[in-house]
Amino acid sequence: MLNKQFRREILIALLIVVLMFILSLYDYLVHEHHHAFSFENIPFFTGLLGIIGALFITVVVKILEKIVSRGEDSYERYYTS
Amino acid sequence: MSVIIHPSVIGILFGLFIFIFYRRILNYLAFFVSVLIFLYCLNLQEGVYNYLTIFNYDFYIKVDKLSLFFCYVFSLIGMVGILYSLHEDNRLVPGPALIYMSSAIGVTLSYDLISFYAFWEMLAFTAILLIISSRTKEAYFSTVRYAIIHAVSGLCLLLGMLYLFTHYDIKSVATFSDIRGTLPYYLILLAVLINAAMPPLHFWLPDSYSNASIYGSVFLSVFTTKSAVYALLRMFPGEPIISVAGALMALYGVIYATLENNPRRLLSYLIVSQVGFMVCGAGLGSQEALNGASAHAFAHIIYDGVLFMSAGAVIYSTGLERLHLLGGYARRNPWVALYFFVGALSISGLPLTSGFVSKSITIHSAADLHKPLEYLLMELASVGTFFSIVMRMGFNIFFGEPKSNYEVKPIPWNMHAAMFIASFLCILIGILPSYFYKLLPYPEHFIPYTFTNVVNSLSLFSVAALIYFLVAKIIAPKPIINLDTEWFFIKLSRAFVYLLNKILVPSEYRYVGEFYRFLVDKMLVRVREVLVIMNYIYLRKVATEVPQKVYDLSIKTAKFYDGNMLKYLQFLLIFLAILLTVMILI
Repeated sequence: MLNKQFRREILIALLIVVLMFILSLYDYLVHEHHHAFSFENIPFFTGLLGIIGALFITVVVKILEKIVSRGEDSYERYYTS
Repeated sequence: MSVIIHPSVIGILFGLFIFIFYRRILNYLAFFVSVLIFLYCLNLQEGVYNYLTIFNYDFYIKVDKLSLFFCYVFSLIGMVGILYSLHEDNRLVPGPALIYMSSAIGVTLSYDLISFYAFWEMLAFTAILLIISSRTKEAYFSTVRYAIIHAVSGLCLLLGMLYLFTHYDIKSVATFSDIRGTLPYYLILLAVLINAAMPPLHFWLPDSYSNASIYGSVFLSVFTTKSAVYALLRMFPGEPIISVAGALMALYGVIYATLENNPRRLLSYLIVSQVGFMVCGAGLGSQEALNGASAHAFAHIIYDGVLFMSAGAVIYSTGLERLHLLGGYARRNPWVALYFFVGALSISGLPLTSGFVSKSITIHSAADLHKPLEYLLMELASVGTFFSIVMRMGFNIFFGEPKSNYEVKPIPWNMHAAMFIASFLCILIGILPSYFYKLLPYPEHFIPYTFTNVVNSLSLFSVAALIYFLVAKIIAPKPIINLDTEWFFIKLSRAFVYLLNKILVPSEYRYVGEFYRFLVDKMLVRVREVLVIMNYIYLRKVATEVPQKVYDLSIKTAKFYDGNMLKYLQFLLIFLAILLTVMILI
């Protein structure tokens, strides 16, 4: 699964994710929060939402591509320049 | 009641003049007028003013904090957009752009429904000119589709207004919550939602904005949808249907944006998504949510301008408009890359940008009102926005190796200046939110820069970036086009034509036609016989004898009209003498 082309970028992004994880744990332990929803009390909730969201979008896009995508020449009307 | 010169009137008159007597030098006049309108809007004072009276009917404008907020940003981006297109020699850009901007300002200031309708229609008409400004076959067909869908919007608005006039005696633009559940309420709501590009009636937006000229699309990306957002905030605050629909719209837009290969179509889908945030804010209806929607509209207008301008700059300099053909552009023109990423990070809502301070208000208000569905959908849409624009579009255009051998043309100074101003504003709003919040329609005490907010935001986007780099190959741009909801309309119209050809026409011919053939044939034969007789007796006689008589008469009169002036004078005097004698005798 690891994309070799973006090895350096993956490493940098991973480091930032780890840093954010630590900061969010610090925030979770130190600050007192009044969240509107119970699910927000999960540590690193937004990070988890980011993972789920990005994977969800990738899967939906791949499925949608099979259904709605066509070759640029296959559409009969004057569609796009 | 005070009388005032409507700022839109200035723009419309000058816009018409520039359009009719177009020379390239008039681009500078358009820019000067746009600066004038911006300064005029800055000096407008709150109140209701009369600006025109026709047949004892008074037309009004209402200046309050909401309308002023939209006026500022419309005039500002209009000015920046005209600066961007200053070098372009195209009749269909500066004049129509000035009228388009003035129409949007007109919509926001209108207090009576007739003014609102007139400016609404003018908005659609001038948008058509801007779409067709690229003068391509694709733009022509997009224009036709745009005109059809906006004719539906205009008709719905007109019908709703007439219903309001006749049944409720409502003549002013105000909140329609009192008449919720009635026909005019839903007709006007439908008209506004069409202009706001609410799926499934959004297909006109990616279709037309991507086919317009690069200058036209900068203006198009701003005014129509945001005028509709203003209308929602003004007329339909707290409408529950649109809060969920808006959040779904936000997610729908980013999914299609992630699929796109054409940069301007990708940006168009992101407009659908971002307008979704605003529609959701309008639907939530609390003061904070309405502030959030307004703030987001303001911020969106500016960063969307930056994005369309930088995408336009790439198209202008390379001549390419496909993600799969570009790459490595940042090495050729780092300034455009900088402008683009300021816009892209703003639209994603990263800290220190305008998107962060505006989008957070709407999401926070959804949490405050305890709306988990809206909250989660908007957070997912934020991930998708970052995923599609910063990662997918940004990386594929500006980084990596070029995927084709393209040449890079230098970009004119005015394009740079326009992009710089808009990018600077994105950062300025992002770092000084308290000044920005003072302009909002309602008092705002939200503090965006808390430790939690910043960490949450960075967590969301860093994770999205990580996932993107892992799946980059899977969702790499391909030379494809994507069918959208217009597919249903195309199929529906084809089914209609099929129904006519295969079912109605044969049945009409077989049954109805047979019935009429007897009558028609009989009658036609009789009529023909009568006409033949008339032709033989009268027309033939007329055709042969009248010319002969005219000829004989002309021979006789020719003896009299021989050109002798003295003889004419003599006859005239004799005639006058006879006339005088007769009068004396009588």
